Amino acid sequence: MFGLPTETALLVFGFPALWIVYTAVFLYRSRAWRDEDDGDGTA
Amino acid sequence: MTDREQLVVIHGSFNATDALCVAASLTGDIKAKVESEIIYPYYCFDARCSVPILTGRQQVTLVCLVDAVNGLGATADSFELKKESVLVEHVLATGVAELTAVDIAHRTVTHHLGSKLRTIAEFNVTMQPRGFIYKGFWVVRTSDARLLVDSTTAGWHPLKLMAA
Amino acid sequence: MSTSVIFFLVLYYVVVLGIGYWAMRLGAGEDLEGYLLGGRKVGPMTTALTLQSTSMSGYMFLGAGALGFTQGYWAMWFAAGDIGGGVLNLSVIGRRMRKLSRMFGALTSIEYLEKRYPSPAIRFFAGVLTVFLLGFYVLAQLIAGGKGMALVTGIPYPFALAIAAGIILIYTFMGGYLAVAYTDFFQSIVMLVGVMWVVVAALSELGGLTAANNALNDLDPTLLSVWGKDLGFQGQWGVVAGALLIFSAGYMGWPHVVTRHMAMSRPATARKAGMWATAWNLLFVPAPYLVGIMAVLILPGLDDPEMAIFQVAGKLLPPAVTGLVMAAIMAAVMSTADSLLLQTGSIASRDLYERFINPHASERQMVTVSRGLVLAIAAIGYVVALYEPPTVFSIVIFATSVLGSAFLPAYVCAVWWKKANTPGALVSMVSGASVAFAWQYLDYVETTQIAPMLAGVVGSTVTMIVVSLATQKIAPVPSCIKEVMDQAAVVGPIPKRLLFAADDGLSPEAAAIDAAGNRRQSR
Repeated sequence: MFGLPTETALLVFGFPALWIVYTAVFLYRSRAWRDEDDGDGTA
Repeated sequence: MTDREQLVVIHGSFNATDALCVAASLTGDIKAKVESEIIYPYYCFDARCSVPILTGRQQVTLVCLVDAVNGLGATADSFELKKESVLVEHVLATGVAELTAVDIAHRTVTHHLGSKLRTIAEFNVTMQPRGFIYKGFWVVRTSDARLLVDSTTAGWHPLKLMAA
Repeated sequence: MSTSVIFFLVLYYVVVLGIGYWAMRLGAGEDLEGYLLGGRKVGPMTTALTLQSTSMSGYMFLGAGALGFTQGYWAMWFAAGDIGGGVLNLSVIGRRMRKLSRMFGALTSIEYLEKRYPSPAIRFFAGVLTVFLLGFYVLAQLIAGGKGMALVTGIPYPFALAIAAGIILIYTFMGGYLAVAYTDFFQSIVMLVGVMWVVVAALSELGGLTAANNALNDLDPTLLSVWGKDLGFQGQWGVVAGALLIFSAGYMGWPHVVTRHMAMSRPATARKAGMWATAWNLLFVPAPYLVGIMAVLILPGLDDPEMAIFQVAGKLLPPAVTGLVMAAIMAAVMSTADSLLLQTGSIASRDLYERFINPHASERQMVTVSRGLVLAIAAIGYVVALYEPPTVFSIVIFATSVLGSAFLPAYVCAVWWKKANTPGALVSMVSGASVAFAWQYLDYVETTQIAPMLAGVVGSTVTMIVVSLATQKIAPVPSCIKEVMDQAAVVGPIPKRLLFAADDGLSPEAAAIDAAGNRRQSR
């Protein structure tokens, strides 16, 4: 792939793909996080 | 006890019925009841600060609240206040002395300015105490949960279940 | 470098200053107060780009490029971890740390550690270690700034270094005026466009990625290998693990990074910012390593590998673009150094001076201590950078390995493990830092084929667990801390996913009301 050995291609493209999946899962699981502004204050 | 007193309270637009709706929508329990109202005390300060800008200094005023029970400080956005008659038994007892609250407020504002403005500078902060202000909370009980609901934001937080 | 590059570089700074001036002057009073109160106008993308651009530092533009140039695709092990560092940090400890730090009323990430693991020794050790190591990190930015400035302007290195140090100090002492969200956002966009332009130009010059890799293969096939030049790291999984860890999980052990969780104003914004951060990292993180690798073909006679990216940009881009890119890179370096110095100043004044020397310190005294330390770091850094400059890569790897090793278990266990106690945390920090430091200093990597980061993290994690469990009876975690950590007990029928919608800002009030209820019950 792109002239790279298989191991290198896995490194270059595999890890980013894993992180995309991780981020997608995180976004899904945190979808109810509050949208209101807590700010720094309690009021 | 039915003693009442006049207190300065942050205007909250979410009443007991709204709090019940919040609880019901979360737990599915349509028989949720308001267990009590809590009037929570804060020390309120106007923090007058002098902030460095490119062409000199600018005076700004921030509002800082210090939780009068826990002693936690925070800057606050503007809010509307009104005088309200509340039941004394609903008012939570304070646990922080005013002098301590001033120190906490000073520390909070100074740190906040430094990190927001990303600078190491003196801000000549002076605290103008405005006394106590209070915020109303609703404690809502469902069949197996207790929730604290903020009367100004309708935000909620779980409370401990207590023995009946 | 040509005068047109310098012209566009100066023009860039004028534009940035102009944006800052406009942002501050237009409706100055209200805007400033609004900005101070909550940054309501700063949305998730701006937040993400601001965060990412302030962490784009000398390491990325000098260290990463140098590593790619010298070791080929081996360098991508570091990129592989780095891409996910932001979202990993946010997802694992972000929100919990925010909640805990609010409950504690902690202002710095070091104070937070003392509140969670009650002991002055924790604060002292953590404070001293952090100040020491962030000083190294500042040194790296200084070298990056000085070398970059020398290359771009042709000014001799000692003077360029002095100018870089001067600009960094101006940033730090003048502050937010130059660093409002708008200017950071503008700089992030320029940097992203510029770096992408360099990547595209480099690949075009070489006929595309496949052609470039084929050319590399003809030159030295080991540059395409995951084991580095001459297969120098073959089978060294311990070193590979260290490379993966250092900018991924390692971030969770950096006091100056985790402090952002404490300042998180809107969980939803932070969540979306995490998404933008991953998107940004996917584009940005591999780019400097890739340009470094391509520089092997574009600049075969390059003497200083750390200048790979600058030199490739200078060779391939039109002068105007080169000027803009250089300026954006310099700005990122300065901005990172400024952030580090602010953190260091704050830790020195709050966590060390006010905590241990003068509890009633006035604002003036605190500012004097902060500024004094910043000047000292700048002066010492200048001297070291001038006479014995180590490589940016080696400094950053050293500092971040020791930091990550010392603090990773402490910060993670603070929010996830209720049995993590004070002795466990203290021994963990000391052992992690010592192991990583010794591993590096005594060069155990050669004999053990294990990276200092990996050795340090294993050391600190094992000691955290063993010592915490062994000392549970004599040093139990205070019950008030356990209660704060324990959300599950108060959930009842509320679905776990909805707990995320709870207002963490109400945690202190909820705790107080619970305590008042307990007192009433026990009467």
